[in-house]
Amino acid sequence: MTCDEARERFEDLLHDRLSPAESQSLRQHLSECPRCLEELDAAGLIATLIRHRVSYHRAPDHLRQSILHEVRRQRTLMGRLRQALHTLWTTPPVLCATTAMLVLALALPLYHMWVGPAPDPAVRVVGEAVRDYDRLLLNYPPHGTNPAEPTQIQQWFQQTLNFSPAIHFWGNQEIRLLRGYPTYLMERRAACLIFKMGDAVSTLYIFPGGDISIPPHDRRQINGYAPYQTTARDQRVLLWRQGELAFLIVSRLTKPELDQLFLRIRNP
Amino acid sequence: MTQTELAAAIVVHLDALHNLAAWLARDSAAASALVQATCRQALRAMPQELSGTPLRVGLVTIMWRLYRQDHRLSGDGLSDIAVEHVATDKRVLYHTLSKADLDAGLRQLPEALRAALILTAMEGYSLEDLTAIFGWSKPRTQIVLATARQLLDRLLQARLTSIGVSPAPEVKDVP
Repeated sequence: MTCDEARERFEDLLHDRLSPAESQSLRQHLSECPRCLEELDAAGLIATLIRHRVSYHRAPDHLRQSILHEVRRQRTLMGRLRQALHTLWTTPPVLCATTAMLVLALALPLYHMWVGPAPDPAVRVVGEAVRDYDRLLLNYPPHGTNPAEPTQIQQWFQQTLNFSPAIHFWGNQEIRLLRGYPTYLMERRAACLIFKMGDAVSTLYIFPGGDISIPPHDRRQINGYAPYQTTARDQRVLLWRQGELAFLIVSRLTKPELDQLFLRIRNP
Repeated sequence: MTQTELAAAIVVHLDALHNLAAWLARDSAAASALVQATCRQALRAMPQELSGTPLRVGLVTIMWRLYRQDHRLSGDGLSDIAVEHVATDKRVLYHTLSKADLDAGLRQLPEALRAALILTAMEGYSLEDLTAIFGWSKPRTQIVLATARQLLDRLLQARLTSIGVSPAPEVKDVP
């Protein structure tokens, strides 16, 4: 056995994963090679220190609950889908029709995915933000340890975001700031603020969006500004860019109320 | 793997995921955010991505990919490290170091080295697992692990020196 072959087996030796023959062969090499023996001793010592003396960070309860909630949501969706499919496939008269519909339903999106253009980043980010908003409403009122104080939120953002979110509006008596926390949108870090006006909850996402081009159509004219407006899953969405940052509001507010919130954020 | 099996398995591996995230991220909030993003992405995309890969490896691969993208990491952090040979006599005194000293030493390692050590020592990942997670070749993975250990060795010895601990002088039998 060479030194390289021996080193390749150190991890397995330290975790008792070698067969008796491999172990014997390695020990034979170690008895003849003081350098490898010293390296293995050091490796064993360091591994023991890390395993037994270094901090182990178990998942906190709030995170576990949040993940379990997400998992249950996924399971419920999948369970319903499976039951519906079972009913369709076990009813003979509709079998042929179901087959044809399934083939079409599967083939068309695949065709669209392979042949059609890649989804627009603006469409993707709107979709992800609205899903995040839906999740937030499912958990409403927000609980946990996310701060509601602007100074605490700013401090958290400074520690966790790799950009400065340039927030100038932190709520007022009419539009109250409920929470703020860092999140992910399109696999990039984003700042999220939750506002409440009347009974309607709105979320503001700010994230690096230099690569996201705002669609030229469907622009809403608000006091000289023209953010992109759309509706997704019954929520109103406004999307615009300020320099390298993209801003996105998801809300149930009426259009005039949403304009008011937009102006507060865009032009405080 | 079905979505249900995947979901159940994510819960099983949650502590391991959070531990790695906490060792990578700057604070607990960032660690939680990283775990949530990992789980969300796994639930969305993993059954397709994971053909033939052990689940825990797939989950950590997703986490490492997200962390790298987020922190714009490139390479494994070995290029600017020169490890000197360290004396072996002080190793017997490592047990005198506090948990805080050991934590601080581990935190000083570059992220990739730290993650590789944590995965092997705490979670029992094999060399093959690391090659799949980090995308390194097998020899490269060995070098990374050896360098990580040597670097930590050096950092711990420096810590012992700074707090004034030295090995007892050797006692020789006098005839």
